[in-house]
Amino acid sequence: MPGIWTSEKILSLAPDAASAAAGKGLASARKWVSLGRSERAIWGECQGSGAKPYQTRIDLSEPAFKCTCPSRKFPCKHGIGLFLLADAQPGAFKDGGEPAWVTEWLASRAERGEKKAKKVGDAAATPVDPAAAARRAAERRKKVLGGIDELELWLKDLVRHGLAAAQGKPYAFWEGIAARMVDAQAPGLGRMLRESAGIAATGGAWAERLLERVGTMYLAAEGFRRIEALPLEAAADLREAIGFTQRQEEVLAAGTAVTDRWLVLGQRVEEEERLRVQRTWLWGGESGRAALVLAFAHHSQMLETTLVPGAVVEADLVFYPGAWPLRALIAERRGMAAEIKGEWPAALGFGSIGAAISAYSAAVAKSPWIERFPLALRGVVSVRREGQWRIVDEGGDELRVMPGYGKGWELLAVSGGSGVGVFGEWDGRNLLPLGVQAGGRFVGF
Amino acid sequence: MELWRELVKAALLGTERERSAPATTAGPLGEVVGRLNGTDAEGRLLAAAAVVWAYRRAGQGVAKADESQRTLPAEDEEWLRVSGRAGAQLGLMLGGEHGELLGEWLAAAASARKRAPEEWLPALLHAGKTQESLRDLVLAVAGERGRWLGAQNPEWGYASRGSFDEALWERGRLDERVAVLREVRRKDAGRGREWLAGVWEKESPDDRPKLVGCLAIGLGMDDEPLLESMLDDGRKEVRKAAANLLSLLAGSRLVKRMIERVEPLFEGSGGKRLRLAVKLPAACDAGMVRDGVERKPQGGYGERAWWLVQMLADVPPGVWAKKWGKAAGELVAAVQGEFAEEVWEGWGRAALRHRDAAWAEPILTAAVGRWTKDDSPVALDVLADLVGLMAARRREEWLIGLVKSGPAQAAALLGQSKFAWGERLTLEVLAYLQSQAAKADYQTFWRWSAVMKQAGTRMDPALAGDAAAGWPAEGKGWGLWKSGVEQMLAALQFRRDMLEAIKEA
Repeated sequence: MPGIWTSEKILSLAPDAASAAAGKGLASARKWVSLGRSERAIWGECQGSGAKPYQTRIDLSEPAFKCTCPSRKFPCKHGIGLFLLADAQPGAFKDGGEPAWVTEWLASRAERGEKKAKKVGDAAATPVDPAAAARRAAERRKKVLGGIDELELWLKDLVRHGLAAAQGKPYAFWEGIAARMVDAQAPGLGRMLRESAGIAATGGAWAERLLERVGTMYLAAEGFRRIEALPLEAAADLREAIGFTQRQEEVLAAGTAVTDRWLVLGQRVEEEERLRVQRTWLWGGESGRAALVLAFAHHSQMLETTLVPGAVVEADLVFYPGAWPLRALIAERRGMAAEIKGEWPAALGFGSIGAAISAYSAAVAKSPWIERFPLALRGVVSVRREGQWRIVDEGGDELRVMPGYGKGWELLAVSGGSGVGVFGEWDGRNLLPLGVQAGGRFVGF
Repeated sequence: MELWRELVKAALLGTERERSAPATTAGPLGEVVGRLNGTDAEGRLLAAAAVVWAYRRAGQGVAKADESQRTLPAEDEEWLRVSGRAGAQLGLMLGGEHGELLGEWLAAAASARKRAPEEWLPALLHAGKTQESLRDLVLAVAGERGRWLGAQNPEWGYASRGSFDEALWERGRLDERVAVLREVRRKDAGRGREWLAGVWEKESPDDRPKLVGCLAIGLGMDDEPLLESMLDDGRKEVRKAAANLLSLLAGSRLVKRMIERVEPLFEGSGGKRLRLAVKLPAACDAGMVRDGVERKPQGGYGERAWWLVQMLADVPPGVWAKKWGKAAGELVAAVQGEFAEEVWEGWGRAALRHRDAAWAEPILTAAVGRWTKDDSPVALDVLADLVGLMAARRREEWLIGLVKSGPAQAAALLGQSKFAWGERLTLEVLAYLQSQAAKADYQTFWRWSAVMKQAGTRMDPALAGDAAAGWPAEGKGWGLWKSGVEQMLAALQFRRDMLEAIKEA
């Protein structure tokens, strides 16, 4: 089994704490009547309360789970337990000889994958009902325009009375207009407003950061009024910033797939209004392109966690349209995920901080909505000065690490004072390191 | 940039107050800003902010690092890093799961000559800071990188290899001075003693107790005169610590005085088949208090019995063997009368203090013989430590016998064991537990539930697989035992996995 699946990561797959605990309880060889594994799958039979043992199987390529138990949770405790057991006691599993109930399931999964790909193609070929779709789009546009009118008035009021006056306002001051934007089907603007409320509450150069935000929202609002006049890519970026979603089928059908060995370099989960948003950063070892895969889940739902930092995944990615495309979908995975070994491929990352910042400048010049930019830096060290972590390259240029970053000592420990590869999110001011490549090994934080 | 600063100022104050003409600048940016023909001042300000911010963001420069204090890279490592699986298990323990096994993990890694993954070093160095007993192992397993890291964070100063700054002895804080003194004692005990003797009179009473403790390192008869003089110190903690150290030195005047005090309390009779009767001391005089005897009894003893126990504990038990010409076992059997148990306890404590294993089994056997229900005749912690003092092979035999003949007593002693159980003892205890687990006998269950908490961390991990088989599947009794047994098996299995993972490449 690939070493990327540690017990901690396996437990993060559990749909809830009870399933995680029950899974741990089943991670013991004596609970299983049989245990086996092959290159692509692991399986086991677990004696439950029924007469016949449950048949649990895991397709390691994603991983995907299947169990004959009646539980509605997914993956069920047997799946979690089996996976944990494979990590803790690989020796307990017999090699080879997939039983029919495993082989058939794997075959049916492959078949379904093909059907799905075909369906995507069909869906793109025949739009549901062009007239109805156009009507819905026009209605949405009207609603967003209405919201934008309100937002512009509100923003103008804000700068008329001054940002200093806004600083003392309660959260409801921001929340009211943010909720309005959500109603007007412009949730992206709503999110920006909510974040602005936080900026006003912080110290330092808050007025400057707030003005940046406010100006950006105004730009979005003004831009949307004349969106037809914008180049297609810029219009796509703007629509995404405002909060239009694109159906995955459309993205897959319209884009061209980029096939590469993608290194999974970082993953972050943030809470946004009852919604968990997971950002996973990939970087193509051959194409040299960075990609962002987003996953969303409501509280009770499980986040898609098949992309594990430290893994290399051979896959076809399709990028969302945009002037500087970063967001992507996985169209198809090819084969099993492996562990990042050795050093980063030559195409990955930047050799100096200067080169990285130039790339960032070029990106934001084309797509001003980019908030977090992926930076992979080679040959850098981490340094602590006056209680502040910094990343310094061979030429002596430096980037500031996010104040309050919690893994500074870990990063220093892994780098050991010699040049290492550091991957992180750059927001234009601070770097949030998410992983290090040192001594032939990737360590994710 | 001037333009941006003006925009921020205008926005901060508000356009209703800041009515100056819209800011502008030269060059292409100025041209763009100039073309922003919003209908009102607010719109122009907002649009200008958006444009100038985008311009600034896209054109930002890079800061130069202050290179004046660059740290040298860490040295190359001698040991290999443990496998990723072993590293993940270490991470679990540092995060609190199976945390009690951390010491075992570190010892196993050190003996396999493998080091901890770098990303766990901060947490590991922190564990070494809070748990002093782990420090040596932490340092071994943290490798060169750990030393390098320790030198950069004062919190982990103990890990830094930097040669000891002996000047700290003169001017450091108390904890620094203690650290320096301990290090000097380790290298050259005499030098450390001279240091301490040289400044002793000038030390504040509050600092003295901690400094005395340093003499425990490299303790020898050369330290006796200094320690003896400390028995007259004004601070009780100092007197107590000095008396404690002196009692470890068989040739010290304190030990001689204790022998003189206790000898007359014994009366031998019976010639070849010796019988020993004991009297309790009549009073606790100032001399006894000076030598560290506590007047107020502890642990349910009578006053005078407690004085006897304390004094006996200071006397190396070999003294008695020599005096009566008998082996430990014969002497334990020879003690008669109502205070026999106090004598055993005193001898037991003395055997532990002077690491004299010959006394362990006789005292334990005598104590087991007088055990009533759940009350041990000698303090249970003393007995449990005596079990630990026995030679490993003999201990296994003795405990296996005890599980068979007196499972209640075996449970009490095993519940406090601090040693690793061998294969046979592990199997014996498993067989006993399995024989009980189907019965719903609450008393037996409670007695053994404390043992099961320990057992997973003490049993032979090679037997983890066998240990999992042979338990009842259901039944009234099993409902009672199930969760305790499963926790025990989980800990045992985790140890097996962790030891196996440390071995793998």
